[in-house]
Amino acid sequence: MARVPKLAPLPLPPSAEGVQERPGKQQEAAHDRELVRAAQADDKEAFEELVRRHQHRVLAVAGGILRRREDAEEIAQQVFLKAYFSLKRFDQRAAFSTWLYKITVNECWDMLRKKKVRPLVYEADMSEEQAHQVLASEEKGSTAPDISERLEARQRVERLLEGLDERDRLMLILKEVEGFAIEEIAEAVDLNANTVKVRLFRARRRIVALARKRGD
Amino acid sequence: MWNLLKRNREECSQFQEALEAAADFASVALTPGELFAALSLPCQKHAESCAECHAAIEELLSARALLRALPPLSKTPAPWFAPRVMAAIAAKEAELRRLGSPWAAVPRFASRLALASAAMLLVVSTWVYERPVAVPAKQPSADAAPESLFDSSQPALSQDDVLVSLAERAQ
Repeated sequence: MARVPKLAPLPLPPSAEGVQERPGKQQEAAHDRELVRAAQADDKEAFEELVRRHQHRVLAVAGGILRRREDAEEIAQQVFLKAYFSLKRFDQRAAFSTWLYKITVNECWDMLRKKKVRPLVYEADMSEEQAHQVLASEEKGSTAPDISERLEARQRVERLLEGLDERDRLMLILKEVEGFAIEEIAEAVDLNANTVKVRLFRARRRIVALARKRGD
Repeated sequence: MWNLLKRNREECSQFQEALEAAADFASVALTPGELFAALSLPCQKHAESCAECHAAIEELLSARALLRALPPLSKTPAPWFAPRVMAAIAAKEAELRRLGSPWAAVPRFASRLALASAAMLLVVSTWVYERPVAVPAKQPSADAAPESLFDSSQPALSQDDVLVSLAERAQ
């Protein structure tokens, strides 16, 4: 019986290799550490700077789970409050962003448990602000579909996302909607990068299969 | 045959990883051409020869196109957010300071304090109402003096007189 020759791994594209170690990522982490140290010494401006630097990411993770802007903002505020009052206990063994993501994910699951609602948005849940957001997120032009079509498309996608596992849904939203890098998603969901890649691959396959099944 | 299948499977799983890395890099790619350009040559060759992996590229792009319908939350600027968080922190700190002062205990224990006061009041009022009233001792006074003037006061008997009267009764 012939032995299977050992495969040379398919190389990553040269351009994609840089994705694993983003330029400036380490400097950002170093700056975060300095700001955390200052905030631990009761420097409120340093903490405000940390809030500014991480608010978008925290909002994105919360939004990825809760899918309602109001809820995501409420949770994001709670996350920073919690972080501020526990900052003295944070020993910086993990990155500040990782710590923040963990608090965010826990707060979101807590909120869902308390509310006992499904984290998906339907027509009745959509606020006027969200409707404007949908409108603003699309390119303006004469050929652009009107707002009701966009809202309909959005609801269709939300329903499709319902067919995914909660964590896969979060990963897919963070990747394709919020523009997170694989390593950032791995940090947020506490998985290694390879697992994230495999799960993203499967989640995409599943959502496309669901869309085909429903005739979208 | 089996070996060839196994080899293909390994190549496919490596391709999946490479595809995700390419998708990560070309995060806005919406056409197969754009995504292909982000793949290495061996990966491109594999995708051309493997129908399943070729379909994976199309699935990735379809999923991406579908998810474009969702508005990103993190892209919306919120300049008011950080000041709002800092205001909430200041409010919480003020609340904690207030809770630390001794007067803060008053509202916390108000109900128990009210209950204890009510119980004490009840006990005291019951005791006041039920306490034995002390009868004032009779003392000779000026008012009593005229009555005593008309009393037929008998001279007190001496011990001997008592004994004599007892002896007389016995007889």
